[in-house]
Amino acid sequence: MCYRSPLMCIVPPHMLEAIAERGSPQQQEIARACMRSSDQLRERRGEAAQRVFGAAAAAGKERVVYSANNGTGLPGQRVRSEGSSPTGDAAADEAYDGSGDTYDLFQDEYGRNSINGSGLRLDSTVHYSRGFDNAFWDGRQMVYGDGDEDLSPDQRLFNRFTASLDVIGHELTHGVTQYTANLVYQGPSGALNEHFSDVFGSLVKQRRSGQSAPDADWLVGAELLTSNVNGSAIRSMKAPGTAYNDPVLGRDPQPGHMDDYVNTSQDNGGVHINSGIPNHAFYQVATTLGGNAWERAGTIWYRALTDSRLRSNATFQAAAELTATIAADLFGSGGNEHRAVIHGWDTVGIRAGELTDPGEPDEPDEPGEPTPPPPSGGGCSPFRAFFSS
Amino acid sequence: MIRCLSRSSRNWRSLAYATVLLGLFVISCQRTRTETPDIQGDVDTQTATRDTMKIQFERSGGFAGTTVSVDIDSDSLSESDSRLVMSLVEQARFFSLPVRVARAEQSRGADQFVYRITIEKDGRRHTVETTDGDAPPTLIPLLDWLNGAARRARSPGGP
Repeated sequence: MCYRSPLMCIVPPHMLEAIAERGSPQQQEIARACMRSSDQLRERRGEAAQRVFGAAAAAGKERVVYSANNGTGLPGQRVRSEGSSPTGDAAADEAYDGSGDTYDLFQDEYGRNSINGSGLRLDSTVHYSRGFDNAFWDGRQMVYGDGDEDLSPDQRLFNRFTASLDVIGHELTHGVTQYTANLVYQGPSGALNEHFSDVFGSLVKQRRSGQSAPDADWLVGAELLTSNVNGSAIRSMKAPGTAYNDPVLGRDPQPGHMDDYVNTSQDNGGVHINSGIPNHAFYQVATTLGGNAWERAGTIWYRALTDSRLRSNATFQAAAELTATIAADLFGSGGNEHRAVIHGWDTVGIRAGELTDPGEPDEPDEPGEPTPPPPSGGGCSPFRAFFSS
Repeated sequence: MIRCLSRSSRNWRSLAYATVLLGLFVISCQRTRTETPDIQGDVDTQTATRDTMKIQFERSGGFAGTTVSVDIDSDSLSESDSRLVMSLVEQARFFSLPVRVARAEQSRGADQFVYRITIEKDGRRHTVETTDGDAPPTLIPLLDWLNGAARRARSPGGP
């Protein structure tokens, strides 16, 4: 039997609403599924209109926030649109602001107009389900739970998932990856997919706070854990495996080196576990270079993610080699950036490339004085414009 | 005389009818007794004991990549919880679900929970794996219940 979403319901809306209220549990679920699919179809028609009518529809940053009202119907009830005032609902306003900050990072630093590069509307749904200690990207939108608010206060482990800006950036980046490298969400390529989301999620947070690489805490999801948990965050890029160690939640399972790669059937082959390895490599690259991580390190990583040479089934090795190649192409072979990338991957046990003059990279540059890019031939092209896609 | 005769034939006829009815009644009572064990106060004639069901539930993945799991034996649940879970399993038409419930095209999405449920009931055993985005609406109430049970089970106070 096929379990696709029910489509093309011919029962009119007022009947569906009546069934949703007064039917048997099974009838209610089916009616709600029909209504949800209808909403999704209308939303998709709107998106298609955006694409067809181009500039008129896709002006740039456009955000919509919905509430699922503790149900599982998506997208739910619209609660905030682009340009409208804060709602007073913390989850909705955090999703709105965080989407905006993420859009700004990709647009201002890398010249990318939203998730698909063409102004795709950024849809978020908050208050998804009950006791939902999670956030996810469903292929079209972001979805956020409220944590385990259904447990008693002394049992509660997780706050609402919009509380961490890096979580919001993480989810949006899954969208970017879907439209670019489309890394398969399983095994090593899945761990890379997770890694890119942690990287750009962290960069959104650091840029918003004005933190340079040495100042940042390099924690992911620090605001998600309640005081009942013995831990500082969900993950640490600086020290994988140390984010939490709690009698109930367990211990942070992330490795920080290829020698400790975890083979498991859970979690799609440990995509959230083995991401610790490339995460730590990026942390090393960024802190070795110094200054703002979203500038040079982030640019190299953005170019790698959007490079056609990064295949959907990429391994850590392939990703490492590509970042080294890009660093050499953008900033010069043997330069600080190229060296930092090779050194960073080396610390996690991956050989990213060769240096003609192997040696440690130089001391970090002074903040605010990045190494200039190679001459573009166009005179004084602005740094960012050179990399606009 | 004829009238008297008629009255008495009516009486005999009534008596015959009554005898036949009484006989049928006695026979049906005998049948009922052999088919239905005599259980005090039990109206359900189909089962002598409460239905039992075992569930193994595991949830992995999600943003944090953690795993929670719980084993449920309906015998150890309260009567109302046991009935509730059974009805959720019914509602989900669990034993008719495919082993891997996924959409037709390759599943998109990331950070979704991955659910793995194995249920044993009436000598049948079936395992279903699905995610937040792929779970059919009729399965979601059961997933919610099991998710809550699993999270409570890991708390220091226990379930």
